Amino acid sequence: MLHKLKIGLLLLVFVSCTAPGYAAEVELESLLAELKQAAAQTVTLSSPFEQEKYLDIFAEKLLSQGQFTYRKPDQLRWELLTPVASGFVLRGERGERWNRLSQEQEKFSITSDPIMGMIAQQLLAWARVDLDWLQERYRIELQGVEPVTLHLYPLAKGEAEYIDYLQIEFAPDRSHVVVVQMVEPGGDSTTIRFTDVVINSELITTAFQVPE
Amino acid sequence: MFRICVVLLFLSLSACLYGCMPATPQQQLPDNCRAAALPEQLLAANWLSQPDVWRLRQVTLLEAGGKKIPLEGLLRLDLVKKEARLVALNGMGLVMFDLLVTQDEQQLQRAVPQLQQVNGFAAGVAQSLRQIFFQSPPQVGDQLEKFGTMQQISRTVASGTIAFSYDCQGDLRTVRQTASTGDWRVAYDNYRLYGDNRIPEQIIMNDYRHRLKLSLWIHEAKPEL
Repeated sequence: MLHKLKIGLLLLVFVSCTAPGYAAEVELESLLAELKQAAAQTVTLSSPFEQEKYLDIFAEKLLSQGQFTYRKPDQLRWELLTPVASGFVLRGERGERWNRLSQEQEKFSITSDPIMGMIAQQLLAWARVDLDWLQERYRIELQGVEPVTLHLYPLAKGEAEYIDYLQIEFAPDRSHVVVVQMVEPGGDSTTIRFTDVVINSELITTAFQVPE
Repeated sequence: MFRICVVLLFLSLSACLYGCMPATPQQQLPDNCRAAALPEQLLAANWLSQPDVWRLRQVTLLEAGGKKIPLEGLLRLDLVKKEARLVALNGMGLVMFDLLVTQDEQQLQRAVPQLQQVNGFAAGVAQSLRQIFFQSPPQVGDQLEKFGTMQQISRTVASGTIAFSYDCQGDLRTVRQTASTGDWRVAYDNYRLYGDNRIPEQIIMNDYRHRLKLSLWIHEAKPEL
């Protein structure tokens, strides 16, 4: 009787461990660990990007181009070059933004400006593949392995009102993010494609300063 | 000495008051032709009088109360129904607001919480869009005057006047209203041919009563088929 029970339990453990859900979870955990390890090697990252905004009500795509720069642990430069030169630099919790149209520069802190805070934290999380930060805020699903593609569903109700999910695609060598797509509940989406990514190159001294 | 101080204080206050209303650059007008168009020709040539629907991709600078708010956006302009829908985005592609405007009302479809809290925000933007795009066009019976290379058609409105000025190429260059219902001016500049229509790529609206300035730079115009 005891022997039969043991075999039954063993079978149950075997079945549950080989079920598709379990396998996917193990695969995701293993991949996330691999991504985290690869990202830990990144000290600087620099890349041009193309931003595509899809507006569902107009069925229209709006394109912009820019340049992204990151230095470990918390320095960012996000610069749009078209259609209007604008952007921001972040050094820790504080930053400065500029816009050629208004010809203004403005200081901000990510704690006092919630929109800038959200944007900056997202960019930092992707640049350094901060999985602890991401797993606190999103339910992560593995969508594909070659390339690694993740779907992230916001856990906070407030964020879920603006973001249905994020789709993140990694480079073939898994060292960095190449595409971020933010899909909104109404059908709009923003896709940012990073191209010609350069990792661990020396950055110019003014990389995190507002342009003259 | 006291008098000098008072004069200096007055001058600085005057400069501040003048400076608080954002400055508008002087218009560059053609001067190599004579204003000789007939009123009906001026009306027929105006793109805002055509039965078209446009999609205008533009960047916008809103200046009010010492604040400058730059936005990027897409404007669907239905000149048949006199209806505009403006979706404004920030630099990261985040929709800041989505506003539907008709001649009589406006509906804020969505907006970030910071803008939802601004009293009169939707009404203010809607009114500016009406002033820029939905003014009742001049009628053939309105008063026509010529000033060198410019022509002006004006008519009486509630306790005041509204005047439409055209350059000698027949392009609408300003609409100016001074009336109890509003004191404002719209300047249309940098006309460019899109299909069969000449469309201004720069539009600046000054609302003197509300100390508000709205500048639009159109960098793409597509007719909706």
